[in-house]
Amino acid sequence: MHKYLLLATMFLGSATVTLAQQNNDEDKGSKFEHTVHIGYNIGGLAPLSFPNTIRKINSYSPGPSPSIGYELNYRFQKNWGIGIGVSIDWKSMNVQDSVQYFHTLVSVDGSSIEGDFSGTNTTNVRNIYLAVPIQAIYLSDNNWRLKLGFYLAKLIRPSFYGSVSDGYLRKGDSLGEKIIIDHATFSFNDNQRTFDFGVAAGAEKLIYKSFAAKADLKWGLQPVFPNSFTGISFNMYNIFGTIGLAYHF
Amino acid sequence: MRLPILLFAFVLLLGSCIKDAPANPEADIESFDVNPDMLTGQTFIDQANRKILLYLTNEAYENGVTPILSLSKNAKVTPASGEKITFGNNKEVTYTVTAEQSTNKKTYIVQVVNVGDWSFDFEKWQQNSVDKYEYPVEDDLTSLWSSGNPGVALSGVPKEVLAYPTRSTTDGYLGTKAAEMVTIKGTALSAFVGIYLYAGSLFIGNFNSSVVLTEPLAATEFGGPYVGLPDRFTGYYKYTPGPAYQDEHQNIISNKVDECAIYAVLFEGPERLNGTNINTSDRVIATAKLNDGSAKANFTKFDIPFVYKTGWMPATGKNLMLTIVASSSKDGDHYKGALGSRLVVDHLSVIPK
Repeated sequence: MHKYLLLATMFLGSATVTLAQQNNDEDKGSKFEHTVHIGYNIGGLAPLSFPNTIRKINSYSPGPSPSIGYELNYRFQKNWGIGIGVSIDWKSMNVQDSVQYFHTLVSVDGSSIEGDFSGTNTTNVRNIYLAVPIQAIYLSDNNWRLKLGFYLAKLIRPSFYGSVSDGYLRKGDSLGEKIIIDHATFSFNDNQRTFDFGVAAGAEKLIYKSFAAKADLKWGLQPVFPNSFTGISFNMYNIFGTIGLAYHF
Repeated sequence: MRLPILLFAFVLLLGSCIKDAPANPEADIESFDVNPDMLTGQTFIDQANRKILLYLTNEAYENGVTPILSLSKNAKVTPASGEKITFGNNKEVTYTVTAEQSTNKKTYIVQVVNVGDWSFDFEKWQQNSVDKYEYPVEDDLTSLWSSGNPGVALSGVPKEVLAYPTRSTTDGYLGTKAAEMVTIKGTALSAFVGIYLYAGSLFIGNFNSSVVLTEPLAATEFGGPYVGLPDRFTGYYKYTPGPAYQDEHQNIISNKVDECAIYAVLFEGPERLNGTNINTSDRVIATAKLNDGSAKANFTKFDIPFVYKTGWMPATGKNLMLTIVASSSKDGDHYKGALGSRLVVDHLSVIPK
């Protein structure tokens, strides 16, 4: 899967550059545009649908999640273009939830503990991704741009940690003996996949000269933890929206 | 700028799709209350091995008892709470608990523990069905002895007998088996909570797993009911300390040699003492402690008198409890000792006055 996506990226990327260069020769500059943008990511590492072991979200906050990037756009028709970019995305969140019979199996260097946890779970994510979005762009006549494509991302700094507290673990499964847990921490930094990909969509509108307000959505299509990881019993995906400003030049 | 609002709504939406609570899958007997007049010691529910250990007076044993049970929420049990149970020849009664999630069932065996003559040869052992550690049982298969093994099981050691610090050995003094305790290295998981070493341990009493993470010393609940007054504590042991002594932070302390611990403590019951207060409680009446915890290559006999608290007078109507404790590292309860220290004990006896 990764291989095909990489090939697709390279193909689209080189096509853009080639088209851009051809265009440069014919009509200098006019169809060829650079964008820098900054923004703030709001979202989370989340399951597509909540399992019934999650009983309540006690709190959520997005955490420090800036996004900064550059895009090269090529307009090959009046209303259509294509863009490739590179961005650094801090994808953070803080969640505290109440869980019941939440199955987990944590394995470290040959020792493992399995069981069903009931109590409070706190998860903090501070991942940093280097992302390459590749998108088709529709430019409307009234200063709107709509973008749709996909992104590829490399996890350059993994950080996924948290704690379980005020609860108990049923050792093995729900019939196992009860072990009271006041507070215990976990860290699954290096259990995460280092590669992510998904759908990238966005909209922006010129608001002042070359400045545009923008909103994007990056929806991961691959679970952040591989199937071999059993610490969390459901799949979680990177689902983040970005609001920000873009500058075209 | 409608999109941020949309995003916010999206997050709210995620929060709102909480599903209905799952039916309770738990099937515990949480308490098992019998008229205290019928008991010689406190009832213990061994959740790890699914046993309920009852210490009954002869009269209660012959006539049966009517226990009142409390269960996990919405669970059901047969025989029902408040139903009279009597003990046949095998001294066992089985309770089956069905959880609200009715595919989940759990069976508990009620055993009447008879301490008998306080002489232990460690010939019979059973294995925990899930974690595969061994524990010694009496001739009638009741459990008097426990160890730290259920706690070690939580650190995720391989599920095999020899992965645990306390087990049987054929290297015994009498008969075919004896109890072997070896101080072992902690696991990668136990290192997370700062435990780098587990000493082998064996004691008369129970291991209460539920508090092992919150208050590990309180998990070892010492004592079984004792009738009369003990005079001497005797037995055979051999001991080989491991090569390098380490403190609780895994620092090697040179020139320090590990020592074993073997002792017996008589105290006022029926409430058990535990690892936090067995040495300090004012309920302690008498102790018999092996002073020489050094290496013994061959089986060595010990015969230690109980030393009574000065001025203590036996009073009628007091439940006395007695425990025997053995460990391959005497400071093992504080995770200090030498990896590989090995203690074997056999033929332990308490001689009455």
